[in-house]
Amino acid sequence: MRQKYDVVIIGAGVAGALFAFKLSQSLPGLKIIILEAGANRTAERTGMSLAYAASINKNPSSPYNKNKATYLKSPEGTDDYYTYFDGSQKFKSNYEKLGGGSTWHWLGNVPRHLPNDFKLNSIYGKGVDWPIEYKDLESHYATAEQELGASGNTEEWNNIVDGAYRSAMFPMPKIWPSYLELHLIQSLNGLHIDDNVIKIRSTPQARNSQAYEGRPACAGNSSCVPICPIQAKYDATVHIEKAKRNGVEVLYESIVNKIEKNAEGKIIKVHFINWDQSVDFVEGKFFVLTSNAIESAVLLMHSAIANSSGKVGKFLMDHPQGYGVAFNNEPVFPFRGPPTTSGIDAFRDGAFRKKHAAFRISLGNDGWSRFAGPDNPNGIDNLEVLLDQQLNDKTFLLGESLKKAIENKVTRMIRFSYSTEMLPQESNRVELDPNKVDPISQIPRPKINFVIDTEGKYNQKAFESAGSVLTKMFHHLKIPKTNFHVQADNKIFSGAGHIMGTMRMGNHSHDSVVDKNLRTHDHENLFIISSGVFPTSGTANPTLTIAALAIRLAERFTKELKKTNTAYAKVSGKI
Amino acid sequence: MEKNNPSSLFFHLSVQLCGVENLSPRLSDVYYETFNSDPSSTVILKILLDKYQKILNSNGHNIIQRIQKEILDDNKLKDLVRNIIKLWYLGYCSGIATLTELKGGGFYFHYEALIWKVAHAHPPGLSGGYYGYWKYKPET
Repeated sequence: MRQKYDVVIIGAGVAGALFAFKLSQSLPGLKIIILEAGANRTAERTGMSLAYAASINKNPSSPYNKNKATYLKSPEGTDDYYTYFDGSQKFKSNYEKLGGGSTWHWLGNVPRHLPNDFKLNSIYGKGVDWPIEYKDLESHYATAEQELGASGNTEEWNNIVDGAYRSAMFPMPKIWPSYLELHLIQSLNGLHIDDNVIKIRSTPQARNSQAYEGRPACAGNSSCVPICPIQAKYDATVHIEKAKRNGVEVLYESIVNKIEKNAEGKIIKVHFINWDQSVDFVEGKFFVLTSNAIESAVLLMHSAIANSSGKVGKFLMDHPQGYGVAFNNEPVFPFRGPPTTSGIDAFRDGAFRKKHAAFRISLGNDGWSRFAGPDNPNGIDNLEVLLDQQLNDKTFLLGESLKKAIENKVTRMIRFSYSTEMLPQESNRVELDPNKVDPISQIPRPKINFVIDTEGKYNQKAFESAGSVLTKMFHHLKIPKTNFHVQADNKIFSGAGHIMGTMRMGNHSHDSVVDKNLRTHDHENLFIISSGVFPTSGTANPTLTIAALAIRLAERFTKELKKTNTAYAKVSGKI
Repeated sequence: MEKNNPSSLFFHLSVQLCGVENLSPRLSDVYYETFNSDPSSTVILKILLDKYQKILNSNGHNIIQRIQKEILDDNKLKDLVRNIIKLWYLGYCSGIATLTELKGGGFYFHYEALIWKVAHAHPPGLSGGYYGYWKYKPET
């Protein structure tokens, strides 16, 4: 049997790794173990980058599909991992099961939530309030920006809206905008649209604008999603390695399949099965669940843990995305530099949130990505379609004519994407699918019900508003109607990869799963760090808030353990 | 060009079709073998190269116009020409059975795809240079 641990962490993504590191840093000697379902592929970065380059169908999971254990089922690159209730829309976001989690394939955007994102109900009468406010999290946001290594323009972001103060500078200057983005900044900044003034500003990103803590500055590989070949973009392997150096034990290829409690409701151990199919368990004093919002909810439901409220798995959210693409009138040279460095944040908050969802617009440097263009309604491989159009039966271009035609088109591609807020709806949920049980781990697959607007058109109106903004911007750029396409229907949305809800944070045990300190209402020694605890979605990419919550919990552990018992390694009391 | 060498002829034809001078001879050999070893295109490739050789042998000018007139009037040849161009420009093309084999080592084809050069860019996953190069207009 393994030794008993002080803290058992499930999941080695950003939440688990950062929490383990901060705790091991402040409480040396504490016995901490992380159980990670996926493999340690830290040394395979180059090989995975090549696998991405070699893949014909390039998507967020392209680097990670090879050499995967066939029994570690996951939604990466598969359409049949999730099952659905009748009437559900497809849930279009996925995640990676490996050490470091989905930070391998994330874009790296790290905006903070805005103050009113925490008070959506009391300010706008929509959704619910969080049990914490911006001011409760601000210092942790600042620490998270230091830990992940955020590049940003402090002056631009300090008090971006009332109350959004910053107590610290970004650790690195902003990422330089691209030539394309500079063109749009010069052309669009100051444009009045309805009651708003367009201001394109640098997006805070966990991507190095200079060498930072042993990792190099961004070299513009343009492949943040799905992989940074040089680790200029933060991923959670950074903190896994730091935690290991502090003595944290990490078990890879160990799939936790049951959390066990005693008669008093205290968690006593977690059971796991290894990739070699051996079974094991670890006992501990405190347990911290840090997997993503879907896998964590599935594990809790499968273990019949933390669910006296019946709310585990409920209120599933994403940031449904739409877009606008165009051929600019002159070349702007996309496909160079990071996929995005800039965005428009004017529509993230305002009185309009009483009527429709907020949204955030980002500028794209990667052509049209995989979005449908004015002459490619299917949106499948825009570059192949572009080539096919030059090689059709009527105008089969060859030689210099072909080259010039492609150059003319591909150098003028511009793209805006927008991510919309989504209200928490109880009917949007993850449940266990009894008909699809993994033969090895015995964990049922997630069965999902996901309908973006269950009542009214709160989100659809945001799509329409964003579509109107993009159309006006294209008009202002004097782009002919035949040369742009705006997608403003939320039935045709893209997933943002921002999986939220399912284990919501709240003050009351009857309608939430964890309290404001991330402790489950049902079990005094079980905590959850995940975007699954978000009561509402706001419009910020969730990772920085997850990191801030991890840091906040680590600080709380440290403070309380030191107070409870000077020999903190022996504690067994409450935090 | 090495006379009567189909691989060299394929390279020469590729330059004409793509409109790009500095193609990789090594990559050309791989692409030639890709089509030549594919049962669905072996025969038609030989016909294509024979026709192209005749165009060259006639010492005629306006090679592009002659390709359009004497090769693209045959739908099978046209399909093959389309695939050759797509392979050079994208690093992949659909409909060629043996191209599935390229998936294993296809990163080189992605990196060498002409689309990035014509776009004055670089393949995603391969750096375009130093930090911040993207701020400036590329040399065109």
